[in-house]
Amino acid sequence: MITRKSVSALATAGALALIMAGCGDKPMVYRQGQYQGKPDTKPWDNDQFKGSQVEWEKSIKARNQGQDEYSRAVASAK
Amino acid sequence: MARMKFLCDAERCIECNGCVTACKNEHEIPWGVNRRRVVTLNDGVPGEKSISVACMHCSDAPCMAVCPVDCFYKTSEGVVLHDKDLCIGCGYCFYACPFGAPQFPQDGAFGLRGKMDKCTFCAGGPEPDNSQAEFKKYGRNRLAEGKLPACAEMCSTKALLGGDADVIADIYRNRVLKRGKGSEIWGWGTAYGKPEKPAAQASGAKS
Repeated sequence: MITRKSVSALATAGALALIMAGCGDKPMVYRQGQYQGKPDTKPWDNDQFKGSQVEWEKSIKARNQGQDEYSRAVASAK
Repeated sequence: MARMKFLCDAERCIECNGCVTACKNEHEIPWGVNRRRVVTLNDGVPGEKSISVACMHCSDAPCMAVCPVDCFYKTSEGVVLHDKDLCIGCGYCFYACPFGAPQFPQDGAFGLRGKMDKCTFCAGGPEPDNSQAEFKKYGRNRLAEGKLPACAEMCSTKALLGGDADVIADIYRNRVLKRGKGSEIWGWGTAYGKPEKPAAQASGAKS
């Protein structure tokens, strides 16, 4: 039969185990010269481009050309 | 694949600091941190030249080489970014950078140096794109919105070009050819000498 005493002992042991787990140190494999941080996503992996690199490059290309006022002037004169 | 670079045309830059303001505003950068600034050579002298300087996203970035915790990474678009969660604010990257790009906000009451902050080419950092965490740590991610850096797109005279290196180099080359001057101001000739002035080999200098 499970008594209140045994339940509290079990809960204490569980809590202790949880607390002690926080004291552990994760072994870190450090590789000199290699990025150690979080991985980053690609700029086209989002809701706007839905993973389409082609669409993203098209958008960037249009913005790139927008900086050339010689071509913009020719386009607007037509 | 695009290889993102900045290029500043010193013939066109009018030192308006629009790029600096655009950057500050876009990323809500705190006081004391200047991801971009305008440098004027021969200030006050007729013929002075100005250039807008920030992180140049070096192909072989010295900041990446010296970082003791390896918090830098280069994206497939050639943008040099870093993870602020790993940065220890040691300042090695600041000493290594030839452009003075890494900035350190004052953190705490005793002038402690905070984590490094620098131009991200408006590409955010290693947090989920356009998330609140990314904006707070690195600023807005315009590249993930299909846009180019705010500084270059806001430049009123289009002195500051930003984007795919091949494309902006073509724009600049076309510009120089059309106006007939300017290539000598900022570029290969300025950095490495002009062909009409060869290195002093006649004096018996050994290579």
